[in-house]
Amino acid sequence: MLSDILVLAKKDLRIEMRSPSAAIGAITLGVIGLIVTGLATGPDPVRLRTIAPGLAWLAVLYAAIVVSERLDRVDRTDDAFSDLWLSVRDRRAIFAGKVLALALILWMITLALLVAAVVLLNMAPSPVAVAVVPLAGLASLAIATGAALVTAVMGSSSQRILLLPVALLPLLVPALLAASQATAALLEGRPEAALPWSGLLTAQAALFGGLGLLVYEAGAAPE
Amino acid sequence: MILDHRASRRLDCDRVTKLFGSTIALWRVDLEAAAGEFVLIHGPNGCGKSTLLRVIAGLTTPSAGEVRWDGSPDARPSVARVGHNSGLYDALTPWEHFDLSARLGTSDRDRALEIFALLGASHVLARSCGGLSAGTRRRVALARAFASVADVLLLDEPLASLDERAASGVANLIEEAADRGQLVIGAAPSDPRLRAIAHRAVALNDGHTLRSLTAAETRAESDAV
Repeated sequence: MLSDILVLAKKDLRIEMRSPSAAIGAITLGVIGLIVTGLATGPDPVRLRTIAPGLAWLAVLYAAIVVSERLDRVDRTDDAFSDLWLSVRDRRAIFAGKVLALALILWMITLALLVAAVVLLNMAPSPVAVAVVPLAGLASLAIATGAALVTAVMGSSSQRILLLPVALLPLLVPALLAASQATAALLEGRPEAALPWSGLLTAQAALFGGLGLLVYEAGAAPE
Repeated sequence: MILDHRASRRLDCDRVTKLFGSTIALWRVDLEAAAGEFVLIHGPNGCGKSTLLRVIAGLTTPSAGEVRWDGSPDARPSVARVGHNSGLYDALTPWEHFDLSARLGTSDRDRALEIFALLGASHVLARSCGGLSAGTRRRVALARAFASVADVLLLDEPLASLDERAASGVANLIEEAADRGQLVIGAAPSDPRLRAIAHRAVALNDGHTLRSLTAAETRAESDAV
C-alpha cells in the first residue's frame, strides 16, 4: 500500500505543478493580505507580527479548499477516477496519496508565506523559529486530512464548490487556531508555548486521517 | 510480461436490474462468461450496454439481481477497462499514464508502448493528453487496457474514433487477450468486425436481453442472411 500511496501522491503533485494556479492564488492572497493589513492597521510592527501568522494560515486554509477541490475534480474529469478505483488494490491508498500530495503543497505554500511575512514585516525571528518548518508540515497534514476527507465524501456533487467551504471551515477552525498560535509562539522564541498547540494539530491529523481511512471506500465510491 | 489467465474467473450476471429514478437502464439481464472468451454486448445507443459494463466492473451497484465471480457475490477480480470516456488526465502524457499503471502493478509499460506504436500513435508519447484528439486519447486508453495484467477486460465501444488500420489492430488485440485467458467483454452497436471474433454475442434493447448467440449460431445466422 505504501508504494501505491507514493505513486498516487507523485501523480497528484505532477498534475498540480503543471498548473499551479491554486497555489499561486493562495500565495498572492496571503501577500496582499499582509500588505493591506499593514496599511490598514498602521506602522505598528508589534501588532503586525501578532497578526501575520493568522493571515498566513488563513491563506493556507483557502489554498486547502481550492487545491483539494481541484485535485478531486481532475480525478473525476473524463471518468479517470473510475479507472483509478479499479487499479488500486487497497483503495485507502487513493485517500492517503491525496492527503500526502495536498499536505506537501500546503507546506510549500505556508513556508513561502511565512518567508514573505518575515521580509514584508521586517521581522527578526528568534533562532528557535526554524522549528516553524516541521510545525508547518504538521499543520499542513492536519488541514490536508480534513480537506481530503470532506472533498472525497462530497463526491461529484455539482454544488460542491459552494458546499465545500461551508462544510470544511468549521472542521478546520481548531487547526487554524492551533497553527496560528504555535507559529506566533515560535517566531517570538517561546517554543514551550507552541507544544500544546502542536498536540492539538497531531490529534486533528490523527482523527481526520483515521476517519478518512475508515470511511473512504464506502464514501468515495464512483456511481 | 505476458500473463496466462487461463485458471481464472467465471462471471454470472443473475437477473441484474438497474433503475435510475423511474428509468429502466437494465431489466433482469442474465449473462454468463468465462476466462478466455470474448463476449460482445450489442444494441442501439442507450440500450444499457455501458451501464451493464459498469455493473460488471463493480462501479455501479445493481438495483436488484447479482453479479457473481466464480460463484461468489463478494469476489473482486482485477478489472481493466476502457470506458465511454477515455479516463485520462489532461496534464499527463501517454507515457506517464503507462508508467502510472505499471507502477500501480496493473499493467506492463513496455507492452503498452508496443501496443501504442502498433496503433500508430507513438509520436505523441510525450505530449499532454489534454491536447490530443479523441481518437488518439482512445488509443492511449486501449494501449493501457490491453497491456493490463487484469483478469477481466471491459471495453466500451473499443473501435469508436479509430481508423480502419487501428480498428483491425484492436480486433486482433481482443483475440490475443482472449487467447491468453483474459475474459474480454465488449459493448458496441452492431459491428461486423467484433461480431466475427466474438465467442458469444448478446443483444440488448431498452435494458432487456433480446437474445444470446454463440459464435456458431452467429455464423449460421450470417450465412442464412
